[in-house]
Amino acid sequence: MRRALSICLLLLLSLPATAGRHQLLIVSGLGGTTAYDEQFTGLATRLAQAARDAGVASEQIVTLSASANAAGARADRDTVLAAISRAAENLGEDDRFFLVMFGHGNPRGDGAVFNLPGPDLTATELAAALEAFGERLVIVVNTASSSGPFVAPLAAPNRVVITATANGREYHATLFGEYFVAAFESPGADRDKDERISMLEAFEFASREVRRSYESEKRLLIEHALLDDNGDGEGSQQPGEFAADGALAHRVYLRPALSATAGVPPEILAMQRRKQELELSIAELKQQRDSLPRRQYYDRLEVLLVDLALLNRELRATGD
Amino acid sequence: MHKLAITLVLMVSQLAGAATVEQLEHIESLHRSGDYQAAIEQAEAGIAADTFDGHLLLLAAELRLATGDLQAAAGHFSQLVDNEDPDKLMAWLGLAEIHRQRGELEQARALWRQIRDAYQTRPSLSARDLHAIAAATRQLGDSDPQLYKQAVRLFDDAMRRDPSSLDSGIALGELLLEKYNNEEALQVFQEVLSRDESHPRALLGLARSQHFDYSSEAMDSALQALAVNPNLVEGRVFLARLYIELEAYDDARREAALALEVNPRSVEALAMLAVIEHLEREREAFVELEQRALELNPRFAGFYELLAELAARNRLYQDAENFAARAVEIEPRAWRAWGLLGMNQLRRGAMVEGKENLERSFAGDPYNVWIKNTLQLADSFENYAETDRGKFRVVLHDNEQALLGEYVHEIAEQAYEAFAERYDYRPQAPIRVEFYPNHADFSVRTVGLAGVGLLGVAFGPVVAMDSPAARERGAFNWGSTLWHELAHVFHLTMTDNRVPRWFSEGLAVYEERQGRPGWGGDVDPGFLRAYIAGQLLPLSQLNSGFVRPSYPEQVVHSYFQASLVFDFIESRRGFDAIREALNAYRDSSDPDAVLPAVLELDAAALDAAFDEYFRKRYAVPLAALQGTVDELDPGETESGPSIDNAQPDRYFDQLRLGISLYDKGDLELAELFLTRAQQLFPQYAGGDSSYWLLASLYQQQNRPDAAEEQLARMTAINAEHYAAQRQLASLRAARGDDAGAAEALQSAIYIYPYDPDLHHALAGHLEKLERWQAVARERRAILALDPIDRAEAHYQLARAYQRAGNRSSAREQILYALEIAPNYFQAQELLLALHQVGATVQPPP
Repeated sequence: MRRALSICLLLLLSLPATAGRHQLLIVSGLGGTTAYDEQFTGLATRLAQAARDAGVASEQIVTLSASANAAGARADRDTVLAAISRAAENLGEDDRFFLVMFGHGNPRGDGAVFNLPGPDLTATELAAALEAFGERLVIVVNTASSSGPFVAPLAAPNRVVITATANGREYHATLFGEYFVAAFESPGADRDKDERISMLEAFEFASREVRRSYESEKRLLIEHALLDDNGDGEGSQQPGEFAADGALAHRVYLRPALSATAGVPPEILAMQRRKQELELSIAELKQQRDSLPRRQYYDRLEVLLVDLALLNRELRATGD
Repeated sequence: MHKLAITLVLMVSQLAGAATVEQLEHIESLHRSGDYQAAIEQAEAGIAADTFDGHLLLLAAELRLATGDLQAAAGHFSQLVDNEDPDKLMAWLGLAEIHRQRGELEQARALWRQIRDAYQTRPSLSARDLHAIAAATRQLGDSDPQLYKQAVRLFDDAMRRDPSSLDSGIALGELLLEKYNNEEALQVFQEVLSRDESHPRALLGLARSQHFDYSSEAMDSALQALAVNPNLVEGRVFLARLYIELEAYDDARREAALALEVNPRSVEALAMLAVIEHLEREREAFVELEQRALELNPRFAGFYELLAELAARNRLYQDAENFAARAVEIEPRAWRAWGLLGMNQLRRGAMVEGKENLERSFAGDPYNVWIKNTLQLADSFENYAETDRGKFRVVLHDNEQALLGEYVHEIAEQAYEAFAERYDYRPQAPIRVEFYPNHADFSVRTVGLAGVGLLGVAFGPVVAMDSPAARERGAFNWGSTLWHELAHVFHLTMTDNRVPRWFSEGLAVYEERQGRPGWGGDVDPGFLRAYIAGQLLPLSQLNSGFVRPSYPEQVVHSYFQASLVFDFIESRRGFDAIREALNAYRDSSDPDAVLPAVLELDAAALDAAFDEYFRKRYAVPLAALQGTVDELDPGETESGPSIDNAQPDRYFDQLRLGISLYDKGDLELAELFLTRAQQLFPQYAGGDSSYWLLASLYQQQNRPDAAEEQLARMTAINAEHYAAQRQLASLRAARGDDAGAAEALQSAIYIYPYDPDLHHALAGHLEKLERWQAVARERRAILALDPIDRAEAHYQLARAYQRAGNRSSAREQILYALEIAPNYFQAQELLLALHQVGATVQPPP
């Protein structure tokens, strides 16, 4: 299984970057108090700004808020489902749809709900709405309390599902949303220094900061975020590039990919291809990390890294 | 015996025309009130008058046993056995006890087994039979711990068979307590006392139970028991023990002597006397008592167990180990002694032997919670890393090794060299220093149970302490705590652990103050108000402040007060006098005489001279605090002083008014009063002092220089205020004082080393100072804190190594960085730069 996943990853790596649009729907749910209302709408505003900063077109960003004081459309179950439906209608094959939810949730029956004015939004209703996207890439981030039960119903191929909690019993207001947004505002979340924050990096950053926050206050950790991107509905608390979950999230960024190879000089294109080959070789070698003798592994890694460094230097010299 | 029980017994007795109810009740009353001789005379007179009276015989036998006349007791018990008395099992039990007291354990065991056999063979069993079988089963538990459970059930059966039989209840309570189940033991004793509120043995059981819980009520309960029966030997012995723990040796000696007057064969009382002689270093007297005890009972391991236990309480760990070893030598089934042996071996760092002996103890007695806890802790040692460097073996949890190891070694070596020079003495290396991230683990390491209220402990060449993770941020300064404990290592090993507690603690706090500015505590209003109220003890009685505190803060006050004694000594006679005193403690049998001799003053003159020193030292704040003993602390009052009535020479008036004005936003006026408060008590730099408030006030007024000055003065007195250190660093950094900022941040690490921002900031200042080795240390600390941006952390560490000239480590780190982030531009450039140098790449560990 692990081997097969690795092969998929290499195939993914080898795909040329696509230039699809990113559509972003941000929902801030019912706060219950002014403080929470402000917190949730504040997070929505910050995330929207981070998306714009990352190059997502303003017209592709829709925010819905349950707070009466917030600007823009009011969020309730029907408006949220309608917005999803519209996005599905407008989404192209190479486009990506991001749904990020800030708010409170509750366990209900075997599942959970996201609190909105009027009827709450159930995981089942949301899953049904997302079916409209078919095989297109969808990213759902539910930062609410008791959001864990959203993972299984929402999981599907070509879909990244992130929840702030592991189950419905984790029903206290979460910290995850704050740190998830902070990941796109902080250079520290960019682990691989490619100047883009992947969903995996944002998840890891937020999870770790939540843990650190609880530890620094000597409190028992009561929220355990999950990520599922292999479609099996079994979220992982520690996903990774080479783990059961994480390979897809590692390649999905809020920042849209740059398009266009047209007009690029052939020698530059050749260097870019060579760079991609080197990156692939490094990724392959990293998969052998545990099976190779350490010295051999790092000797081989160093050779590749030096080549890559020299190539990057050349690319920079060309102004690319 | 309870009256109802006597009545039941007499229903049978009177059929045989034996002693009357009144006779038996009278004898029992004499027994209960401790008039043993009269009771014996009356019982034996009754026996002589009758041909055979089993009940009188049993009473007489038990009375003889209680007074140590084993021969007469054996005669009575044998008579009961020979006559096939219904109480034959109780008689066997008595005979077994006589064998036990003589050290004839094999014979005793044979009888205990014989009694147990009766459980199978006898067609019917009375409550007293069941009691005898339960007691015998309990005694045999040292060869099969499961028997203890059976004994509990049997005592229960006995109580059910005859609810009036309080003896079985008391015995059950004693067994439960012996097996560390104090909760149930206490319930049992309370149940007995609810039926007979002045039962001496039940009161004594209650006292022991309270002692188990470290309750000071134990003394009162024991005294109540002795008020009912002044000749209760076990009560006198228990009281002697309490007095020993309070270092009131004369009182303890008196109690033990009273016990021996009643029962000259009481080896327990002899053991108490032996403990006192040992602690007072009266070797000949000790040997004489040891010989007496062993002549009476050559297999009495309890003699050495008690010595081991109380020697350890007095920090004589090697002696404790030796006594425990002697106990297991004379009685290999002394499981508690095996445990004491193991515990004390662990305390002196013999980890393998210690654990082995603890396991042996636990196999024989799986109920000992101390041993169980300590073994569980010992099992967790596999999660700890030991690093040997210089004079130290540092033991840290795997999660903390990478972060704390370097700091610990660094400060430990500094302390060692500082002390070695001052004391002209070098303890044998390695000194073992253990850090526990969980306070409960440290507590178990120290006393075997969770809940000890200490931060650290030195057993001699072994130190155990809380790591900073064990407490809330800012709760303690682990650097100064380590310094303090290492001072103990010197003082204890220099004096063969003979230094009195007050001297050792005071000197260790004094040494903290020499270690870094702001370490070693600072004087606070509560301390001076205690002085004004006459609560502080004179120097000659300071030890009582540690072992017999009379008010809640007295131990803390005594630490600080004792530390001032060394400033006083140094001011009079220089540090040589302190060294001289330590040497004298090692050799002297009269610790109270040491300091007067060294300072050439008698105790009274010494007290007076120290008092004068104290008054001079704190003359200003003492004057400003006069009349405030009964006043509330700032913040505890609804209406504080006003500008009109605030007294200019009263500290709290000025402080409270300053705070009030500050809270109202009148910063200019607040500054005046807070400054005045500071003039009145400049030595106090706590979190609620004028320093902290003025620093905050000046920051609000955008007067950074004034704020920095306040914080610098504050931290020079009190280095334990984390926020003050961080703010001071920021202010110094803002005006480009990297060295000063680094110094403050370094101090903050000794308070709370887990904040990555702290290490980032410190690394930044150290970089500007081009102290690349120190930068590398901080970068390693950041990595140890598992940062989210590991590529950056490895890269920064690689940079520091490169600048420090450590190219191979630099390349190792840069490979780690690029392994995570292959396109990390700055790291690539550093790799290329290093690659051109051509150093050999070390495989990562």
